[in-house]
Amino acid sequence: MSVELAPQSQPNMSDEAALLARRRYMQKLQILALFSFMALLPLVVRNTYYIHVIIFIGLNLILATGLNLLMGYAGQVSLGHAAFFGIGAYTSGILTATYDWNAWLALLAALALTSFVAWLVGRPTLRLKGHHLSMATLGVGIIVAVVLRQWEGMTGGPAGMKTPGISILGFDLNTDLRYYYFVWAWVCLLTVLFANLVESRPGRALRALHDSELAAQILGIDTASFKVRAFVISAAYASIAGSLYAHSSMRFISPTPFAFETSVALLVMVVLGGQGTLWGPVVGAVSITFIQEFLRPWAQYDIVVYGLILMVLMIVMPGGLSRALGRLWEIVSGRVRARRARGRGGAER
Amino acid sequence: MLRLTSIDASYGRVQALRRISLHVGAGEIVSLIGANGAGKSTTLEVISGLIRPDSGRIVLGEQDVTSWRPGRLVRAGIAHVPEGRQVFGSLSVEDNLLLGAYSRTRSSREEIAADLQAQYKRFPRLHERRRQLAGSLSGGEQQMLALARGLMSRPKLLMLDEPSLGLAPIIAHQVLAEVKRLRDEGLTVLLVEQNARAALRIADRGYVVETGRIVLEGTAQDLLDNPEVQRAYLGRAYGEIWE
Repeated sequence: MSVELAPQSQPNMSDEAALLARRRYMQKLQILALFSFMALLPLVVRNTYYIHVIIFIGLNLILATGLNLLMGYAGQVSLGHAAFFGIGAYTSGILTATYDWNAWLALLAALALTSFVAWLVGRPTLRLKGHHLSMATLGVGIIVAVVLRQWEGMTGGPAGMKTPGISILGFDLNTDLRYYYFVWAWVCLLTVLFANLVESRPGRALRALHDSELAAQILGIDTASFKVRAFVISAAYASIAGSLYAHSSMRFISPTPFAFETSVALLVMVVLGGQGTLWGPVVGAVSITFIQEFLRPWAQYDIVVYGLILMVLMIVMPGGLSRALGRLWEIVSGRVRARRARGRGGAER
Repeated sequence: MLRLTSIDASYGRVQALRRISLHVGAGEIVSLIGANGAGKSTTLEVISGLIRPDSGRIVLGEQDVTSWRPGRLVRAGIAHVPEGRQVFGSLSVEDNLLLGAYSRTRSSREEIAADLQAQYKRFPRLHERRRQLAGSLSGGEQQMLALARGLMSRPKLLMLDEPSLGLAPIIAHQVLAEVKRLRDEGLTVLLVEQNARAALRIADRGYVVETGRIVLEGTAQDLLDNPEVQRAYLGRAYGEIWE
């Protein structure tokens, strides 16, 4: 075999490549497993309420994945991500309901507008050192919330507005179940896109600048432009989630879901799940969506709960739930492996 | 190879460099010595394009490279190994090295892979640890990694900022010995060190920087023999401890 013939000093490249390919393959397999599970779930879960909740988990997952790119990879924080969610939802809603646009065209228009707004905010603030982006996005969040409430002629104000549905090639997505599959297909697409992005050369550059901006710059990585791109992509994810929200089976949007509380909830999802991991947003979106549903009767207190979760997390597991679970798994599987090794009578160290 | 002509630079309103002029010849090790905050690191940051000089000229080879962006300077052959190593702690050793070749957009994958193997050959320790996160390496290993990462850009001029900082004396010696070996292989080195004695031992020439100005220059031996330098930077009485 060629592997054994390779000289010692020359580590075998095909071996290295195989390991990397295996890691990517495992990741694809995990993603495939998750989405097969989601595809089969409605066979068991018949209750409309739960289908609704799971659709919301999907939307939150898209939002959290986008924010994760910004926080976990570019090392920046957006305190107004709900605003981009809102711009997406209302652009889609207004263009389809008031101006009779095709829903798909409206989705693209919303995407373009949101990305443009993000670029306008990100370009000047991300050229500076420090966390100016957080302040700027906080401002954007407040402005968008006010506009959605006050511009009654366009948005319907606090009372909200009715929105039409969406269809694929004449197939109406007018039932909860159909919409469930539609949203989760998007989640699947955007997750795979994200996984490929962070494994690519730009993804590696992003992680590098998160660790040491100085060293990244010295190596010729244009750190400011990478941060802007990450921010625009994360806003684009939020916009898609917004458009999907606007055409959901509720057929109605109001300003409430796009307020500051949602921005905080998204932040908690990313931190709770574990920034900078593929599975963090999944863990975060599932747990926070359930907590939100559970707290519905006491909705005015949920921000208190988020605060508590954040505090406890920072102290107990700053890496987030998915990393903590991963470490637990390593310890358990490590013990099993060690026991097997001892069973064979060969202690390794 | 590199010539700075009366460079002024500042952070906001604070002027950090005043009329710095220096040159580095091909195949030389030139050392900048001086106290903390004298402007040594700033000089390197100006050369690698992180800070734009207020005035003055930087010429690399035949080209005026003043105000070039860092990426272009890396392609032109300048590698900067920053102070405090600044490895990418959450990435693997191998990813760190590959990022060193980030600006080599004209090189093929095979060329970069071959250079990666060359670095592993130079630093077998890094090969052993190539899958580990860089943050889990010891200080000395991180310095090796930072050095190898710099070399991955195939530089003509290597700029090292305090490579011995925070390392045990034996490890610091090894790092500086490696720097000397690199020079013997044909690389040009601009070395910033607070440990003036160790730096001047391997250097050909040196400059003494004080409050943003160059106050003295000469061959390494002249500087080692200079009583002013001995008093201020070599701590003559402690010299024996270092032997």
